[in-house]
Amino acid sequence: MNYFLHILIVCEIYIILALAMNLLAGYSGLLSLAQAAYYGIGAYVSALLLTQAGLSFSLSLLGAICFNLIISFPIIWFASSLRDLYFAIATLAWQIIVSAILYNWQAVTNGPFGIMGIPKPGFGGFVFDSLPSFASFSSLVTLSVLLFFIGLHRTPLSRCFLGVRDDQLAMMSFGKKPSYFKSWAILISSGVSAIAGGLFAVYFSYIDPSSFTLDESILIICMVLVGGLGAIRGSVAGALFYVLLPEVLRFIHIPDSIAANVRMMIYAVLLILVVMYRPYGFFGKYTFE
Amino acid sequence: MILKVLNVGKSFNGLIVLEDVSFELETGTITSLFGENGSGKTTLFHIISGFLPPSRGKIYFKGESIYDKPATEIDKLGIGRTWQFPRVFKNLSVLDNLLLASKKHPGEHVLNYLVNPFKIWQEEKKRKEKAVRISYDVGLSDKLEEAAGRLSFGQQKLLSIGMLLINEAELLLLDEPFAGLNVIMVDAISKLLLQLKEEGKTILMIEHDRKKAKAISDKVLYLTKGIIREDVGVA
Ligand SMILES: Nc1ncnc2c1ncn2[C@@H]1O[C@H](COP(=O)(O)OP(=O)(O)OP(=O)(O)O)[C@@H](O)[C@H]1O
Ligand SMILES: [Mg+2]
Repeated sequence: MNYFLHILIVCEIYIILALAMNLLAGYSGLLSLAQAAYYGIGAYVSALLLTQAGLSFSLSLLGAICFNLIISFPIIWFASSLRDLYFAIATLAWQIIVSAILYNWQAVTNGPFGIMGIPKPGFGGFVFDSLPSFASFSSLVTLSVLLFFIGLHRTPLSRCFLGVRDDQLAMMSFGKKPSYFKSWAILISSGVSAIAGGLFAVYFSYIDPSSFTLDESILIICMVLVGGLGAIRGSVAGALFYVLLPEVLRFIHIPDSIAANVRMMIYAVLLILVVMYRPYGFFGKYTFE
Repeated sequence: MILKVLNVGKSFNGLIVLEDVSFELETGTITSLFGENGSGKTTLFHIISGFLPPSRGKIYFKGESIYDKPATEIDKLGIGRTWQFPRVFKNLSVLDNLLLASKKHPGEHVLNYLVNPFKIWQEEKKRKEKAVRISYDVGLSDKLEEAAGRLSFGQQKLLSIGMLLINEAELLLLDEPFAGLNVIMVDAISKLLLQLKEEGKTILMIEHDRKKAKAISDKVLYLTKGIIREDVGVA
């Protein structure tokens, strides 16, 4: 039972991350490789506010979201001045810089040793410290995020994100500034990633920089690509797929010494297969050209 | 007079495309712009609509200087354009394409969702109704849910004209609206353009089908060797 609850919580964290990524890559055509950076910054800021400033979880999370919004400016800047591949490369560089900061700014992040003893969230005296209670809590958070994106999907705003993705010149010829919509997509996406980071921090009670590297960014992109760009259920399916797959592989009994590598290879092969035979992913509505 | 183009020149690193272009458009008229392939007609549209800066010269729209305004501003002032190769939002439905072209939708500003979400839905409903009406005008009413990228070339042209209509442009710049359309559709579009003229819209269109274009034009402009020559009263 505990095993399944654990998997559920991990799935939920990735569902949030994939949904946030989908708003960028799937809706707005922005293939950002820095999602893990915002996931990580969100986790660190919440963890620091919880452990150092002694704030409640909701206030810490709010702080992390605000911090992520502010620190989104490099991505917004890249998006307004660079296109497609150049944007992806710039975000890749930014991801590497953030990783390096998390590893090396010892005074704040405690470097590779990470931050320990992050307290569990609570509500009016009740602390979600048992696994079932935490799972309910994280499900509630995930459900809210999911509903937020479903709601967003129905707005005229989301139509503009899609318009920017399809044809920026046409958007301009109808009086709409592409950079305005890209900026908002980026802000929403980094804000939501902070929620995933906060959940991760309080669930594991411990964070270190190794969870927020470029590999993680690529994993999140794979989830969205395999699930299908631009489709909310695609992001959910992609996250479930990538979290559950290794659990399934576990039953095949690959020796521990090579398990990690085999897993990465299987990820890669699956991604190649999907790109070749199902360019729209499971549920996608759009594919990069 | 709605548009005044004065001594506009454009060269691309040494290649002079527009030498000295001057002309005026009267409100509520249809004007055709003829010229050989590569004579710079599309370039002139890019300049008027703000997608390319002129190398020199001035442009006035309703008395206001616009030659240095960005494309988004020029659309807001009331100049709409189509593209020689239609630019539609390929992965979006015809309905969404039309809605995206409509102007000043409160739902396109994030803060309005906090201030007045109710107004957004009201507007959305109104605009949907209008989009459906316009889809009848351009013969796409049975394609509303179809992805624009799956429409034929001709249908995409029709859609882009529909998008200008919902955009409520006062001056429509049409880049070869008839090319690739069958006779029936050309006649339908001609009728639609005449009707728009009755409503007070001004139209400047690039066309290679001179006969069809002259049939509805009040004035014809010829662009040769970077200079505009004018014929009045052809209709
Ligand atoms: N961005 C650019 N850079 C360099 N040269 C350009 C550019 N845009 C257009 N030209 C050149 O300007 C000339 C005019 O092009 P334009 O597209 O305006 O012609 P056109 O009159 O619309 O022709 P057509 O009837 O074939 O559509 C061409 O020789 C073209 O090669
Ligand atoms: Mg042309």
